[in-house]
Amino acid sequence: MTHRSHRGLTALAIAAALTTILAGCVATGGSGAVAPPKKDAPGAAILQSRFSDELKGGMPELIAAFNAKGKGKVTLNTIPTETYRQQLPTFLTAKNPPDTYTWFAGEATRAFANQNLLLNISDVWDKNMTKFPSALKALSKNDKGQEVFVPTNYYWWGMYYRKSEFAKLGVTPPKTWDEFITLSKTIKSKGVTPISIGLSDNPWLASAWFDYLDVRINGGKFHLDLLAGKHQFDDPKVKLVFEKLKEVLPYFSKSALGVSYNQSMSDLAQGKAAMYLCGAFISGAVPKDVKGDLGFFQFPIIDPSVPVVEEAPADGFIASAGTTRPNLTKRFLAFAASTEGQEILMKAQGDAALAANPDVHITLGPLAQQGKEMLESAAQVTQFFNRDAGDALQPTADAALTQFFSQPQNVDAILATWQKAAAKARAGS
Amino acid sequence: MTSVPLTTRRRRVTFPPPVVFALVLVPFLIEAIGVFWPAVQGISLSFLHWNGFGPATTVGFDNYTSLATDDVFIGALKNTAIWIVLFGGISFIAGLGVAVLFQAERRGVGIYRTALFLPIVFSLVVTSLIWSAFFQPNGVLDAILDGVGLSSWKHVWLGDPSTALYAVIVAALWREIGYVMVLFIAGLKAIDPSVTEAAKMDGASAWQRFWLVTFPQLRNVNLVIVSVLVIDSLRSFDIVYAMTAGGPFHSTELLSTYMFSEAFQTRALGYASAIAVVIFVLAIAVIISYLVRAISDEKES
Amino acid sequence: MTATTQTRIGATARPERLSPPRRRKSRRRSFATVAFHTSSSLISLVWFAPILLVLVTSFRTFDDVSRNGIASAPSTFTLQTYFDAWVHGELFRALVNSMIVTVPTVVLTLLLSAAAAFGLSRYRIPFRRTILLVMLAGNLLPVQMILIPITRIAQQLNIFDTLGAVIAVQTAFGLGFYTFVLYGFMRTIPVELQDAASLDGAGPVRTFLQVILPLTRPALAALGALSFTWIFNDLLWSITLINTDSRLPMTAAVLSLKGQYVSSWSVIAAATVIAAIPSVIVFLFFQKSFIGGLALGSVK
Repeated sequence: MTHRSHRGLTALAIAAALTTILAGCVATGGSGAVAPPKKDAPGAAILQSRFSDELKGGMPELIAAFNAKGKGKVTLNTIPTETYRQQLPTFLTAKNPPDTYTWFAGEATRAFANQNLLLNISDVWDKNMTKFPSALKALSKNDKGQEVFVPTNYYWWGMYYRKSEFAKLGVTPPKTWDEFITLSKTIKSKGVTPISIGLSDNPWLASAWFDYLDVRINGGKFHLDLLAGKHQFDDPKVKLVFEKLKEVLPYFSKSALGVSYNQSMSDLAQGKAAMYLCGAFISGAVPKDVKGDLGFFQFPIIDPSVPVVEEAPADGFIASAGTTRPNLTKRFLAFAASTEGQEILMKAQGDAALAANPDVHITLGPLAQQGKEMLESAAQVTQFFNRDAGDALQPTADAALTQFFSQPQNVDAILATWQKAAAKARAGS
Repeated sequence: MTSVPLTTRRRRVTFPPPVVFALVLVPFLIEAIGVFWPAVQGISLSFLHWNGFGPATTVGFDNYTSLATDDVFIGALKNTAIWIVLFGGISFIAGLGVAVLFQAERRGVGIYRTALFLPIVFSLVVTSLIWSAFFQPNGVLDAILDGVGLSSWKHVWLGDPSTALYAVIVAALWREIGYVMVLFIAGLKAIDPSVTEAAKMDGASAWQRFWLVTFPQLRNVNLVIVSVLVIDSLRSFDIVYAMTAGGPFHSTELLSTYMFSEAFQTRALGYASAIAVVIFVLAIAVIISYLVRAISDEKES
Repeated sequence: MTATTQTRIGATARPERLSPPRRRKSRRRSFATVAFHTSSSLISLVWFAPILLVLVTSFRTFDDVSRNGIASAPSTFTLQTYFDAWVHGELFRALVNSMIVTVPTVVLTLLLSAAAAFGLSRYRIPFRRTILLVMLAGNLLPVQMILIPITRIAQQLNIFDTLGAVIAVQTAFGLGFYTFVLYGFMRTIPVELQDAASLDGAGPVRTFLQVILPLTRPALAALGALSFTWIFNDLLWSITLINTDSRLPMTAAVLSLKGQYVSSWSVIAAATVIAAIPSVIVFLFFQKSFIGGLALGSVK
């Protein structure tokens, strides 16, 4: 017996020694700044896309139109959305990375750009994208001021409702927070749940409430600084946000934490719940006949002295710094930014997105028109919690917000935990 | 163990022929290259702070010391323990029960076995959707409670931190029991029926026959199944991830889901690897202690 | 059905058919049969109910599900969902990929682990228990721990994004557990059989292939059915090691039908039903082989 345990110990010691030696040899380095080749490798460039649903985000049509021009060939490679998000670092750090990718603006792009993983496409901006709004241009830069992102479209968030249900209830969209509270009270008194949300499988939806309350109370600068780590989540100003949220908690469906996103959408479609703070993608999640009945209003104004900020997440493309076909990739990105390319994409998005290129002229549906005007009148736009703060912080926000939904009295402890978790998430990655 | 005295009839005193070594060595080497080698690399990641694409910093045992003060980790550890006991225990008992019920080849058992086995073959994407529909407010479960006059028991099952974990365990059990049943049936089939028949002749009741004759003969199978259940409990991930993603506020977080979210959402790969090492050590500890006891029992008998 | 059962009982009990206690016994037995089928049907129904929900959902339209919720009674019937799943999910291509991965992996793993189990259980190989435990330990590793190292290794070996890489990893990862299970089964095979074979002049390889493997059939059948299910339904390895859509297997194809914000659950349910068919067929097929276990019993 003793003999055996000795052997075990020796084996353990050897294993431990090996591990320590090997710790040095796992390939963990980010690839340094490699200058892309001047001349393209032969063959087609690969577009890696996360739009795996039926319409595939209009990517097949975009590629077909580009390939028809005879300026090179691009092939589409579609990966399921969830997998795509997990695997993007693997794609980008691969020996032969795919050339270009669908992605979104903000911290999610900056994090890769600052590790020199993204192709510098300043020349595409300088040559082809001079008319793009400066806000979108600022959003597309890395920390060195080079453009690494081509926005194709952006969308809006709003408080959605069914017009026919509002008519039945005899209510009209509110403008201010107080009107919103009164409206919720009225709706509740008529036996309808005022606000729907489904957090059991999609807790991130609660972050929309946090973002909007924060920008309405504390303004856009504080919000972005907070998400960038320049303020703490246990700041008294953040507590104000939670106190406002507490005012509307009684009007959420009581089972918000136990309902799936799909069910919460059904509740809205069936008229069991009256309002839903959601992105423009909501129009695809409801039955066709309800789609035409949807309306939305701007998130209510709380403090008129705070300049109005709206969430306007931008989607678009990035390209890999390790591409062997930089010229072809840039030609394709230029095409995706052109009016022709963007019109193709807009068609696939239906009435749920706005083109990034200001020269695109297509007839907008009523909701898109309203969304466009709302965003144009805003003093500043933000992306969304995870896009501004980075994906690493999203789980910390989910935990804090869902816990607050269930235990609003513990706000101080919740915020302290949030700050601790956020600091750990920032340090650990 | 190499010094076990050779019993009378055994004649393999000599070394086994070399071809036998090859039969063992080839699979062993394949596993070494495909599993152990990457595992050692995985362990070495646990001494780093790394996001998977930027430069990594070596931090020694930092990740392990932070685990000790991480409330989410400690909660996940507790939930994993609950999971092993409830999910593992119920799977074992219920799996054995249905295996005994369905072991004999008789009319209809094929259908019954298939019904119990079916859950394993269904995609998790949809499994989680179905169980969410089952537990959601005014969903299937609440409708059943209404139907039997227990409306007051209705509850936000997945939204309440005190019930969410158990709700997910129910869904996980639904998938596991049929699988355990298959293993037990295979084991029961290998049992010599003449011994049971003899006990029957001697007038042993069905209960006695099971506990005194059948169950002891299942020792090898039990060994396998307990190991499988511990492994599965510690690895249970996908159903939790799909149904609650560890929420509401970490109340259904298991070590495996926490690890996944640290690795692929927070992108703290070093920290996630440290959690993985903890899972591994726990699994080894449970299994080895069980195996050592089972094997020494066997030597005595 | 009851009638047949009774005839069968009657047939075996023919000599004392008319004696009263025997008849009472047979009546008690038919009562037991009814009780058995009632309870078994109930258990099976409870087990089958969620699957029924999948089936029902797969025939509903998107508008019906999204308006009324998945837990509601269906008000529509459509086959379009199956068409959409098959065509947009490109399930045929995915099915071929899944088979290319699953069949070789199952055969390879079972053969290799049976060989290892044979050597470890029938010969006095030094450290055989340690080897067995170490191999099993490989199965205790949390898969997620080796995802990233495996990706790196596959890239270095230039097999990243190939089905071969998935086969290799799945085989390596399955070996420990299968060896452990087969070791347990092979130990119960009486040593006399092997002695007889070696007296006939058979070497270890022939003994393995002609004596031991056939006797291990019930275990191989059960493991084969299980491993087919596991490998066919695996998602993690294929999405980690494959990044070209035309090479993705069935499970990933089903996942592809889930959109970023909007998913048609009825189409996903239809795809799930299609994806489940191969595993069900394999299970039904292998189920018959469990009966082979009786052969093992008769040998004893």
